[in-house]
Amino acid sequence: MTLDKAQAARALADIDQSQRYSSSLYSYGRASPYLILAGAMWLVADLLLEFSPFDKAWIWPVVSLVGTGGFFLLAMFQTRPADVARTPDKRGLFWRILGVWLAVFVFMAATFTIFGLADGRQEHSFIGVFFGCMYIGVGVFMGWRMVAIGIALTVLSMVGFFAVHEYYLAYMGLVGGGALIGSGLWLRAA
Amino acid sequence: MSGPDEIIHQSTRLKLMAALRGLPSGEMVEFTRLKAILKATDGNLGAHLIALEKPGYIEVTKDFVGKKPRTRVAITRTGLVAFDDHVAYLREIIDG
Repeated sequence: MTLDKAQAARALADIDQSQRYSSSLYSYGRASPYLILAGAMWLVADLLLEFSPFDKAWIWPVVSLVGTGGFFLLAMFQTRPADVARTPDKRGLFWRILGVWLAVFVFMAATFTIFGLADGRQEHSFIGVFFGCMYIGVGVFMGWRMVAIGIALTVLSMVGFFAVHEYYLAYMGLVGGGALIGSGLWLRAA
Repeated sequence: MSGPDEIIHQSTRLKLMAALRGLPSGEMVEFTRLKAILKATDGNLGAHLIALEKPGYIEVTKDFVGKKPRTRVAITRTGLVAFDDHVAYLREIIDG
């Protein structure tokens, strides 16, 4: 069997398309539970902030702590010992995730300190926009669905900041958290 | 210039191998997902898997999740080398 240039080019195009598609679906499957968990954290924390009659200072720290534990459990579940033995490059995953979370935490703390964000609305909307833009950036490599999720999150956060005044926290919880949960399910179904 | 790999070059098998090559090393993909990626029928995909399994290019693992049977497929080291050689051959043709 011999191939000419046109046949070779077609074969290479098919290869590229299949690799990209398969890689996107794989990434979607891995990312989906994280999005669902992040959305649930956001939803629960903001609804509690809006409606809880009790002291609210503890809500985000506790939800963040529980959520971070959940992220580690997910990471550990996705990195089973059998997989580690087969694919040694996964060994550092746990520490890489910890590193990413620390970087995000330091960035948020530094930003709030430098700009002196005064109220919860500013902080909430900023966090929404930050994660929205991060998803867009990740989506450029991972697949268009992540880009769409990022755009939705960014736009909804901005709309919340400028247009929603009453029940702002409930809006952010339902819309932001709900968008992430819906997005996680959307990725899972891809 | 080495020749093409005639087992891999068939259109569906080429896409199948590419889909497996697109995953992190050692990662398995479920039969149902492969079917969706390749837009193939059960019978068609099954036949191509057998053709690739014979020379040891892929590894097919069957197990149960609860009571539901599950078939997963991964590319082997032999398959990886054969696929990369085939891609190199295609690139050589393009480069003249």
